[in-house]
Order: sequence, then structure tokens, then C-alpha cells
Amino acid sequence: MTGHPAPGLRWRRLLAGRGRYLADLAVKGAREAVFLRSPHAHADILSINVTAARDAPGIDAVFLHDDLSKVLKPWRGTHGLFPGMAAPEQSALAGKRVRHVGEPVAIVIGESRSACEDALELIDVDYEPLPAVGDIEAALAEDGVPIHAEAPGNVCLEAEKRSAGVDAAFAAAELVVEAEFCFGRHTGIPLEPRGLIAEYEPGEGSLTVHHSHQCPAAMQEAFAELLGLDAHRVRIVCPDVGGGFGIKQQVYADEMAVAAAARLLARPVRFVADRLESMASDIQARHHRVRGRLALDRAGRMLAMDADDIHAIGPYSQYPRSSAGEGRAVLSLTGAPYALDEAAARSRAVFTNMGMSGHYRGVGHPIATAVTEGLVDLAARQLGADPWDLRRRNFATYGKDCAPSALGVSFEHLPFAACIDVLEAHHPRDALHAWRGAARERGLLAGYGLAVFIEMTARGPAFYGDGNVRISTRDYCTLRLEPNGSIAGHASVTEQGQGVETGVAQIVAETVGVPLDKVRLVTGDTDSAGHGGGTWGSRSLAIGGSAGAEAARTLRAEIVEIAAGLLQRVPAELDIQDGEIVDQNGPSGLGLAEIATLAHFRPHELPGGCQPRLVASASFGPLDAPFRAGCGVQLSCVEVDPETGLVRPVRHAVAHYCGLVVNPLLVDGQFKGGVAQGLGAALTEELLYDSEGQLLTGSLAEYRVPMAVETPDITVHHVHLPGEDNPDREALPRYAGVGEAGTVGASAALLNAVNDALAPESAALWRIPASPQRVLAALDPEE
Amino acid sequence: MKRVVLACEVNGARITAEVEPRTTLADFLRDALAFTSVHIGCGHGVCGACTVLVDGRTRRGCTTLAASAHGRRVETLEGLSDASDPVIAGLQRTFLDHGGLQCGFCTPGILLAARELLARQPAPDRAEIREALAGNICRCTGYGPIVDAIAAYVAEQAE
Amino acid sequence: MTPAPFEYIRAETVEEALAALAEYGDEAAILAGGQSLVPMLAMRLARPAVVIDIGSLAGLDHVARDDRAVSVGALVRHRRMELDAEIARALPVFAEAARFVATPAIRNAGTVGGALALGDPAAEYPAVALALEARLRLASTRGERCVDAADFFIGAMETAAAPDELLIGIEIDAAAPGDGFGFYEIAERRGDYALAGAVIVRRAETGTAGARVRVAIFGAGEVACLAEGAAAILSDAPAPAWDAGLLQAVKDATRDDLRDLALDAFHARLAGVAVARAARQLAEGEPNERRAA
Repeated sequence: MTGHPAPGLRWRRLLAGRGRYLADLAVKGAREAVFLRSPHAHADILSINVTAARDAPGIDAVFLHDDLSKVLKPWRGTHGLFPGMAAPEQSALAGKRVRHVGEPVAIVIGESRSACEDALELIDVDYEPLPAVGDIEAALAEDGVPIHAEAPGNVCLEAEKRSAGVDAAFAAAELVVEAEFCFGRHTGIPLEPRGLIAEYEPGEGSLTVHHSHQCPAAMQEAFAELLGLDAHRVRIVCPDVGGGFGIKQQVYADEMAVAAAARLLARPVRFVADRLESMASDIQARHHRVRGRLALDRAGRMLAMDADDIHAIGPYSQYPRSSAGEGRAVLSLTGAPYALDEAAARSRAVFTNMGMSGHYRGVGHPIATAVTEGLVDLAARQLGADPWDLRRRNFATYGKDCAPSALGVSFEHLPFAACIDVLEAHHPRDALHAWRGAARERGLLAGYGLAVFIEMTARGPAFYGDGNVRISTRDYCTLRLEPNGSIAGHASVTEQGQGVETGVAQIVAETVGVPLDKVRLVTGDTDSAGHGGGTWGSRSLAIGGSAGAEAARTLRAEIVEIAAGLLQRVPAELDIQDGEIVDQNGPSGLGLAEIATLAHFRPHELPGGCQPRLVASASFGPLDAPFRAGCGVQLSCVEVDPETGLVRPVRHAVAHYCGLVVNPLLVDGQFKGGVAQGLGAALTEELLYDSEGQLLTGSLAEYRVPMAVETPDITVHHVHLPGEDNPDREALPRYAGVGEAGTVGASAALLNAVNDALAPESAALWRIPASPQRVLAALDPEE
Repeated sequence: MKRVVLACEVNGARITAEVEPRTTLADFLRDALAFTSVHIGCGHGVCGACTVLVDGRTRRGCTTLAASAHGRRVETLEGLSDASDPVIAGLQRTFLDHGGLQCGFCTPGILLAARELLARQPAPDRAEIREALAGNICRCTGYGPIVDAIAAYVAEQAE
Repeated sequence: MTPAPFEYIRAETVEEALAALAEYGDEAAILAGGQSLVPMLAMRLARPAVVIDIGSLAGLDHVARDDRAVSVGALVRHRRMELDAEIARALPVFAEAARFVATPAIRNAGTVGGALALGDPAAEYPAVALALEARLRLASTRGERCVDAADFFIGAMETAAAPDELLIGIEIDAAAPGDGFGFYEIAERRGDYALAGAVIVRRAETGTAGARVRVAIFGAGEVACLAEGAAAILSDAPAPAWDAGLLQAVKDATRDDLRDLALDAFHARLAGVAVARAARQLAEGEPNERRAA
């Protein structure tokens, strides 16, 4: 039951190769769509000739911007909390101008992918190339090229938080350390590429979209809004989804074009991105440059922190969530684990002619964590302090009756000290020092790094809701007692492999009192699930699990009430265990199967003459809490080859707190996978654009994700707070999400480990990925 | 474009088909024969999700032309599942116990790579297991649980 | 990502393949293992009118040895180069290099001939062929000829083979007592193309105490190449005398050797490191970490 490992409910099927992903679905008569995409980062479209393509064999239609505008509106990624944000208009297909390599220009619909790709080559576009913004510096240059007339300085959003005494604190401090941190541009690479099948029924005005997506309800809103349809006639169905990581949380121009084409043709249209398209058109993220400072006194008390962040988004604010998220995390989390008197953070999102950017696992958290933790290690080195001790003596105390962070964020109690104690108990300092010394003896540079992290999960409505962005922060669950005594139902959580469906089923099974295999939940279908948030921001177990618990509690109460009538007992004396009604003396002999048979087929025999309901629904979402936080500490150990600059991670460990652990197998899986993505970001992954805005890493051979040989074993230690393991069955349990926590701290820990390794050489590197070239340059700036 | 005759064995059945020369083995297995365990993750030979066995050896389905499979024996995970192959059956069990998968998209390729390793080296250590998976991307698990699952199967066999 | 249309010829014999090549010349692409060609077709970077599939033809998958030389057919797969006992005895450096080619499923498919004929500067085999002084056998309907490796690799993806010629195999003098080798590759992930790699072959000179050393570099430049200066230093000193000072000189010499050939200073520097490490391996007889994949 909850607290115990259980394999994912889909895994047996997936292990037999019987997954049903988007590309595996058979839809009678479905046509294939492919896109002509811009080869230029910035160019005017002078003319497009599609005559030959329209006449090519097997082609049904070729649509351009003006064709789709008949049924599809353009959009702007605005956010009501940031009225000053520049959110230029974006359309599914470029009209007069293209603004990034890979931007869709034409959609070709035909009988097969190969026929459509053949036809693509017959489309003739006359482009007039324009100067492009290919990096952060170019975006902000005095004589820079404005990508949009309405944002002449290429600034999408500038936000700042500053406590009153921060300047004075830095001016008076005995020690100030500072560094400039650079973070590469990354993307999520779900192994199953994006895809959808859109079917429009003109007779009903209804749209059905099978979609490899994390947030079907959000897509229902988006399709309805932009296609001018009634939302309740738009159905989104998510089949098995081969990974998401935020990449499938978004609204995509090409996917909108597919739905519009399906509407124009009144035929099902399928689009599955190939990997080359994914590299250019999947949501990209990170790509920050942050100037960070930390002020301390000589005794090692942290006084103030300051971060000045610039990050490169693509050419538009992302619709509908906007491009405020990355900066918001920097403004919330810089310095947050530590008791600071003062803090300041400024974040600027700038437009560039690079791929669209948005939310990828962690959303800004990894940036704030790496900057904060890098500065702490820098200070430890300058003070000659131990990095464990310096952290311990400065941890913030949060919770009821405690002050908010120096940046003004209120956190619940977060057991930083317990986490670092557990981590050190498993990985003692002396052993780490001995390992490091031995590696250095062998001529390697070796080091270890720590990173304390906070993950803000399970957000409430205060960000999107208050910003007039129609993204739900609630979840739904409906449960039925089936005639055979099992529990079947629907939940609005969505599954991309992380196992939330299993977690919710475990909560339901435990709450009702039946074995897990007596519960079957269907997820991912807006027709049945209710308008839930889906997967984003490490929210779904914390919120969807609570909805499941509430529905299960209601259903259980009715079952117990029926049982009490049948057994002529009072409900309070009865319980359900393992599908049987029990009392204080043990099994009553009455099981759920008998109760269900009676209730469904001979309900008139139930005592009291009332209608059995046999169905319970609940919805749940945070009301006033802005988020539920988890925290932890990560440890990374690396060896650096001083001659080649290669960094080899040899070990990684996490000690974390996330409230109740429903399924340790799945929680560990989230951490390990999340850490691996953070390590990839820190070592080999980088989307590189040249100054012309051309993508240099357009395939998986060039965008290099971690593989089995290079990824170290990752260990996860759960930290529990006293009293939390035995929750009150009648109260809603306390869960925090864990989906992003591994990614949030891994890059930071690794970068600190690299710097620990480089320290004896008086070298430092504050840039990820820490490629061999960069490591060698740090070691040997003369070369 | 002249179509090409392809005669081969797929999951134990003799197949004769006419294919466009440019059809990859992965597309042929998926589209013509509905063996959809062959997943297309990259289409350019990097990710390993389309791994199949050709004459008992792992191959990338996406970088093999279907026409090149003429006269060969092709197996996909479907052909080795449902207890028809004891090694696969054992791995499926230990993957379940150790969380050796999440989204499942890489899983067919990983299982076939592991099976090839175990056929040649029945008692690999963890480093050897990782080497055998060097051509398979898993974006969900961080690989450790996959290595745990294969190592657990190896340990079971040693008992 | 689907290839542009092409015609397909399944060659059953070498003669059929040569006849098709004679007919189509540079309109044709040879498909052997397909591990480079098929992705290039899929991305439409290669657009041959005709693909001549030699993957199943008989007669080119031999490993044969006479009293002096080893003959390897063009269709021998990397996997066999890695695992074959005869290769391990007679051409151990080739077996070692094969372990570093891409990843397991690709090694099952890719061929010796394909990897050499592509002339990829970042691939292992061209450098191995250079260091071993391999002779590449080219056939066409015009006849057969043998080209020394040193004359075969001309530039990036460019070789001395004419459009109608097929690489049918290679011949290499087998290792003799007193010979030695070193192989070192620097790559960020297993199976990635090398940032730099070095192959060193030391051939004992019969009747003398001396030895001839050849050093070949891959990954660092536009084409696999010999590092003559580094080789000269290693030839002049007996292996046991390869101390740290000499290895530093080898590193510097390699960077000089590559002055005009390397992609940049970073790659030249790594090439020096690779040569020094390969030399140390040769001197100490310590191979790369074994692996089972």
C-alpha cells in the first residue's frame, strides 16, 4: 500500500512491447501532415509558390498562413500579473516573416509521410534574410536588431525583487564573493517525439485530438479558444506517452496547424514530429547568464545575496503560460535555503531568433540553485570553511510563525538540516576526503560538491489563475463500485511514465480498503476525467492524490453504510480491509463483491430503501497555499582528467524530504531520472546556435544526452519527519511533488564538484555544460 | 521507383512483401506488420528505441532498409514476449521489480540489447551491462534501475 | 525523415555489384552495413539515384591469413573484428579499435569496407589502416588494384576510390614477435566520434634491435593522418625508455605534426594527449579497460 514500492500499473504491458503510443494508433482514413520549416533564423517571406506541391502525387492539400487564418486565431503569451511583458502575436504558420530556424511556414497533408516529404521539396519560398539575434549579447546590444517592433530592446520581461537594505549589506560586508554563471540552452528529449491526430466533425462542431501530451485539459482550452469551438465539444485523449519533462506541456504552433488543417479538410490528420524537427521546434529552456554575489562576515554568517539574471527565450512569449516562469524561479529561490538578512534578484527574459523556449523540468529552479550553491562554495573556499559546516550554520528556518525568505517568499517547514545529516551519514566527509585524496594521488583532479535545493511543487491558483491564464491547478477523481466489487474510475492526472496513475491508485486502494489490483483508473481523457491540471510543476500526485483520497473516502463511507445496514451494525464499528468488511473481531464474512452484487442487481433488497449511489467524485486544489515545497541536498563526486578536460561523474546521491512517500520505487525513479537530466545538462547537453541563429546541434548525435556508460549510480535517501508516517486517516494527507527535484539540484552539485576538483590548480569554471574544452580553458587560460 | 520483393522470417512467420526501396525495416515492421514495439525515437541510428534482432543480433531498425532484410530472420520484442523466451521473461520480471522502465518507449530496445549481452556473456558485471546499453537512450530512469534489473536477473541465474 | 526515392539493386555477387557501379558510377551509392548511408539517406543529405546493396553478397566476409599477411573482406562486420580470435592474434590493434566503433547494434551491422570507404576523419579504421600500412583492394569492371592506405584517404569523406570502384578488402602484414601497439581514443560518451584518437604500431625490424613506429591520428583533423614527428621520436628510442619527458616531447611533436591539419588548437592538444597515452600503453603493455559489450 502507500509507503511501499509497487511497480507501475502499465509496466507489464509496456515490457511486452504492447505500449500504445500516438504513432501506434490506427485511425481510419488519417492523413499525414509534414511541415515546411524555415531554414533562416530571421527573414522576410517575399513569396511562396506551392502549385507543384499541391499537384504532387498523394497530396491532399498544402496550407499557408492565410489558409489557416480562416479557422485559427493568432495568439499572444500574455500574463495578467505582468502587464509590462511584451507578448507579440504568434501564428501557427509564419506569415510575412520567420523568426527562428524550424518555424513552420507551410503544412502539407497527404497519404503518407514520404509523399508529403517529397512534396515539401517542390515548395518554392523566396526569403529575404535579415540580421539575426543569435545570442544574449546580440539581443541587448545597443545597435541590436529588434525582433519585434513592439519590443525595440528585445526585452520580453524584466522583473525584480529587492529588500530594502541589500546595497548597504553588501557595502558593509567583510567578505563578498561573486561570479558570473553561464547555463547552456537545453531541451527535454522525451524519447517519443511529439505527435497528435486531430479529427473534426463538422456536423457536431466537435474536435477530437489524440495527443501525446501532459496537459489534455489545457489543450482543450487552447484548441477551443484558438479554433473558435465550444470547449465542451473538444475532447483530448492521451494514449501512452513516451516521456514529457515539460516538453509536452505546451501549445505548439505546428500542432495548432494540424488541428486547423483537420478542420479545413474535415478529415483526420496525424502529425508525428521526427527528431530533426523536434530538435528545432521542441520547447527549449535554461540559457541564462547570471551575475551572482554573496556577502558574509568573517565568521561565515551569510548576510546578503544578489543575482542579476538574463536569459534568452525564443522570438515569442510562450502561449498560454507566458515566458515568466524561468525568471520567477530565480526571483523566488535565489538564496532561499539560507537565513539571509537581505537579498535582491533581477531577471530579464530577452527575445532571440532561437527556438521557442518554455518549461522544461525544473523551470528556473536549477539556475537559482546553481548560482546560490556555487556562491556558497566560493565563500567556503575563501573563508577556508568546510562546505558542509558553512551550509549547516546558515540554514533558514521556515514554517508557521517564521519569517519569509529575504526575497519575501513564505515556505513551510523545510528540514534542510535533517537532509544534510542523512546525506552525510551515508556519505561521510572523511570517506569523501579519502577518496578525493586517493584520486589526486593517481594524477586525477577529483572533487565533490554539495547542492541544497528547494523545489516548489503543487502550485495553487495564485500564479496562473490570478494572471488570467486558463491553466487549472486542480484535479478530479471519480470512483465507482463495480458489480464485481472492484473500484473503477477516472482521474485527471496524466501519465508519461512517472507513475502518478499508480500512485493515485495506491491511495485509492488504501483509502477504500481494497488490494491495488482491485483498482482501475483511466486517465488522460478530457471527456471523463474532469478539467484537471495534468502534469506540470511536480503537482499531480500531490494534488491528484488528494482528489483520489477524497473520492475514495466518500465511496468507502457509502460502502460501510450499506454494510452496516446489511449487518445491522453502526458504521463506526466497521472498516474495509482487503476488500472485506471487518469489525473489531475480524472479518464479518461480507465482502465488497457481495455488497456490489446486491447494490447493482437487487438494490431493492438493501435495508432502508434508499438509492445506492456507488459513485463518488471529488476535486481538489490548493486554495490559498501558493505551492507545497520539498527540499534536499545532493552530492556529486567527479574525476576530472587534467590533460583532456573530461569530467567523469563517479557517484551521485540525494537526501530529500517530500512529505509522505506514497511509492518509494516511483519516487526513487523520479529522482534518478531527474538527476540524470541535470547531469546531462551539466556535462554534454547543449543546444548551440551560431551568431546567425543557425542550430548547430540539430540531431541526437550532436545534442548529447547521458548514456548508460557515463551516468553514475545514483542513490536516494528519504528523510521523514516525526509523526508524518502515520497520517490521520480522516485528514487529507500531506504530499509534496518530486518530479523535478532531481534535476533542480544535480547540475549545481556537479558544477561544485568540478570546482572542488579544479581548486588545487587555482582554476574555476562557472559554466555548464562543463565540456572538455571549457575545463581545459579554465585550467590553462593561456592556451 | 520500382518496388522490391522482400522475403524474410519475422517473429517465426515467413513473410513475402513488396516494399518501396526507401522503406526502413522499422517502418516495414510497424506499418506493414503492426509490430509496434519497434519505436521510432530518432530515425537516425542514435537512440536504440527501434532495436530489433536480425539473425539473432541487435540491429537498428531505422538504419536498416527493409529490402536488406531479404533472406534474414527478424525478431521484435513481440516475438519474444509472453514467455516464449525465458531470458526475456526473466528480464521482464526483474524490470518490473526494480523500476527498470518508466514511459516504456526505450524498453523494447533495452530488453533486446540485454538479451544479446546475456547470450554472449551470461554473468556480466555492472560495467559490462552499461557497455551493452551504450547505444540505447533512456531519458526517464537514469539507467541505474535498468542496470539493477539486469544484474538482478544475472544474480537469479547464478543461484 | 524519409529518404528521397531511389532504385535498389540487390547484388548477389561482386561481379553484379561492379557491373552496376560501372553503369551508374557516381549516381550510385554502395550499401553495406548502412550505418552511415541510411541516416544520410533519411536526412536527404545523400540522394543517390541507385542504391547497390552488397550487404548479402557472398565472398567478401572472410578473414584469411597466409604466412605473412592477413586478408580481411570488406563485408566483415565490426563485431567480428572485435571478437574474432584470428584478428586478435594477427591484428590486435584492429580488434582493439573495433571495440570503440559506435555502439553494439551498429557494430553488428557496420562493415570494415564501409567504414574505410567512407573516409570519415573522426572514425577509427582509417587511422588504423594508416598505422598498419594496410593495402586496400579496389575492384571495378576495369580490373583490380591495390592502394596503400597512405594514398587512399585524401580528405574528409574523400578517398582515392574512383566512382566505379568497390573496396573489396584489405591486406595487412600480420603482427610478428616484438611488435606492439597502442590505441587511445578521447570521446565524451562511449561511441561518440572521437575528439581525438591515436593509433601507434611498432614493428620490430628483423635482424636488428630497432623498430619502426607509425603514429596515426583520427578525430582531430579534416582527415586521418600520420604524425611523422611523433613517430620519429618513438622510433629512435626503445619502448622501455619512453619516460614522461619523452612522452611530453611526443605530445609537442604531435601538435607540430598537426599544425596545418588539426581542426583547432584544442583538437591538436588532445591528439598529443592521445598519442602520449597510446605510447604509454604500448610501453607498459596495458590495454584499455576491457568491456563486454
